[in-house]
Amino acid sequence: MSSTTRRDLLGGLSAAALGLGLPSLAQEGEEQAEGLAPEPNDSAAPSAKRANWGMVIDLDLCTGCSACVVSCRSENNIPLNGRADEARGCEIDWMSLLPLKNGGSSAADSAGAEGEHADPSEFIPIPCMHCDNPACIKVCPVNATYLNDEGLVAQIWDRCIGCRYCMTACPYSRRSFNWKHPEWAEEHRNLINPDVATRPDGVVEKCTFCYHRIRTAKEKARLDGREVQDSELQQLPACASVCPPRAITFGDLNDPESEVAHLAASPRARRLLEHLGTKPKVVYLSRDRREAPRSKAR
Amino acid sequence: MSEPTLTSGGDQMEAGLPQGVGRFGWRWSATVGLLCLLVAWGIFSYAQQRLHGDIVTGMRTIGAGGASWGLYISFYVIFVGFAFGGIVITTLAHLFHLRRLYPITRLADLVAVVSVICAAICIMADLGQPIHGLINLPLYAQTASPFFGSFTLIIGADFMASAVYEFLEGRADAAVCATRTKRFAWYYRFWASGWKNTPAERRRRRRVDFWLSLVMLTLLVVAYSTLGFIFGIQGGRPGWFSALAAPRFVVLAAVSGTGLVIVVAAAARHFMHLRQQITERTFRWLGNALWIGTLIYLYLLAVEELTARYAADAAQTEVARAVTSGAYAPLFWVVVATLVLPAGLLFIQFLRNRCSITLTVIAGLLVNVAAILKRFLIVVPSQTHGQLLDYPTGTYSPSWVEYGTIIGITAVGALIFLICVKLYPLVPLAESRISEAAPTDSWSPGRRRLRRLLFSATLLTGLATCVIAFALSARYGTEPYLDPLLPGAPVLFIVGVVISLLSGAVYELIPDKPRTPSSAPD
Repeated sequence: MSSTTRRDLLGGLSAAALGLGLPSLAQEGEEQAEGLAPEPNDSAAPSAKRANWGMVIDLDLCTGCSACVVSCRSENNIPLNGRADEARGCEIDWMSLLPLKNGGSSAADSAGAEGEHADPSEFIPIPCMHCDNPACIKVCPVNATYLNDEGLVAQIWDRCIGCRYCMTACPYSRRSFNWKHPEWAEEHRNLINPDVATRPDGVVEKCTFCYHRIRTAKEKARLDGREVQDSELQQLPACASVCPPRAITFGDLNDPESEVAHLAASPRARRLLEHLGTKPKVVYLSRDRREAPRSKAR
Repeated sequence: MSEPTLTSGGDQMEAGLPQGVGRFGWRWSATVGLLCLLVAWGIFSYAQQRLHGDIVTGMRTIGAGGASWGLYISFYVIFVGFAFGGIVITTLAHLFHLRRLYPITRLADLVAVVSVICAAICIMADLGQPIHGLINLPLYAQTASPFFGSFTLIIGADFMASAVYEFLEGRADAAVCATRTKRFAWYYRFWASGWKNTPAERRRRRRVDFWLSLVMLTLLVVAYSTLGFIFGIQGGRPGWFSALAAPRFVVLAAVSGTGLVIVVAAAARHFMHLRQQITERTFRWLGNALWIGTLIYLYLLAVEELTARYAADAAQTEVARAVTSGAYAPLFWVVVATLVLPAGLLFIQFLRNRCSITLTVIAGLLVNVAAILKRFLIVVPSQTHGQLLDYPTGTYSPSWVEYGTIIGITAVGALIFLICVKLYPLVPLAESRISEAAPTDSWSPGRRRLRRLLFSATLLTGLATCVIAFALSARYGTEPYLDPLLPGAPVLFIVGVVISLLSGAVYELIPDKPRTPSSAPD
């Protein structure tokens, strides 16, 4: 595990010196999967306090440009889908744009909401909500998905048996199944991100909040003998890093000084399907007082 | 009361085995041949899925326009329902001494065993990574998932319970069979495991029957409710989330299982010439049970649909609308018709105090059409139409691969059934019941003490294993993530349940006389 995390810094030299060679994609897959588990090193890190990762998406800034979707696919080695007719319903999307019917404006029936402001976007970017009380982990028969100490809903690809129970349980439908062997076009193969495991067919996968980037940031900070700065984290995940209007902010909700904690406390803050009690850690900001993205049930 | 085939008693010893056991006619062989072809077709279909991935099925991602569970899960639920019906009939017969059901208890139990096997294969077919499933379920199954109950209690414990029951129930007949054949005498002697048909043995048999039935009935309701919970406790899936899910499931399981037992019993009666053994009285009882069960189910159905249409939130209403008047309406109204019709026919039959076996069989078939469609309507619409967010509605229609695999799995079940029919008499023999001599208490007190001691020891070991293994699986008092405290604890839990059930066998198998060799088979 630790050899993977230090690889960015020590490079191939130390790996060769240890006689390990570079890990293959498959081996790395295991390491990556296990890497989602809390690392023993963390307790020795300067900040002993556990992070609680969260994300704020400002719908008033979002233009619906899909940059986050594309960036996520590229960063996380999400396979291509083939021809559109074959691919219908097979898309793997860790981050996608959920179109709102009627542009969301028909939902102005919540208390205090008078549809004076039309919803600025007709789409909302929707990653995994990384709920604090996730429906998916309760139903997983083999603990292939679990809530780690940093509040991430992690998925161990190697343990997943592909029963798809988590997919039926997730109220946000934010889980994808590998309906076929992953495929990349020849020209894309060299662009596969070595920091992220590729997944075999027959397993469920999902957004990790780009945990590999979090880990790298933590390693860097640890070697510098300092704490991870909030400024490093704000645009850390692939989706946030490319968002042109910087609508997506990431960070530690446990850190009261962090930007994400400030934004999450905003009066504009809403969460999806709050009534289900899933306690999502993705917060939407919207001028409207109505529940940010429309949901059918209240 | 003995059947005519027995009295012929030719010099061929095998010919003496009752109910066509050990004899393979052309009709049997042709059916088995056909079933083998269907199994081969199933294997071919499933191979497509393994080669090309699950994309060859009709299932797709929820929210992206599909349903992630389809025919496999529907049929898993159906097969488990058959198993439930089969065991319920057996256990009720023994609990309440329903003599008219005695001829079909073993048959019903065999239906249950076979159905559980089919259900397990259905789950395997559904898994994206079946090998991971075979390894990881026994190692890491977590108790919070409703699948834990299905996996341990149904696939593991109920299967074993039915098998133990079938074994104990068959001992008396195996003893009779052992005297009728030379070639397979060893096999029947092993099965009979020292059965002498003494009054003491019979008394023990009845006692074990009663207690085993009581335990199994309790276990069943718990186990089969967990299956209802798979759907019923999903708060994020309108249409599934319902307190009625578990009872509704249990009732429809009993109805469809009874229907199947009626059909199988009639087929056995016709093709195996068992007219004298399986009489009209049996079918009358089953028919009455069927209309009562069907009416209860219709009541539950009406209550649920009414609630969903009248007062539920928007998303739930949308699912209910899709089912009753939308995309799934044709299926739904076929379900209603195939429930109302048999219930009505059987009720009329009940009022007129008659019993037509043909009509009862038709009713049994119809309720199973209803059960199959209804299971589909439980599994699918909530995924395609039950979205809480603004995802587009989806569609699902099974692909030929799924149909092929399901046909193959059903054929496997039928094949096992037909093979079992040739291994032992399906209907308890009259001979094994004859010697109703005055009970002379010939138990030696020493033996009785030993028996009680071993029985209690087995039962306590089993129960303790259950409790410990469940606690280890549930990881009580530990950090809330990852593995059971002991890898494989889920299997240990199943082992515990099985040991507890085997205590019945221990009680029965300890022989009365010290000079009889010890004969517990395991």
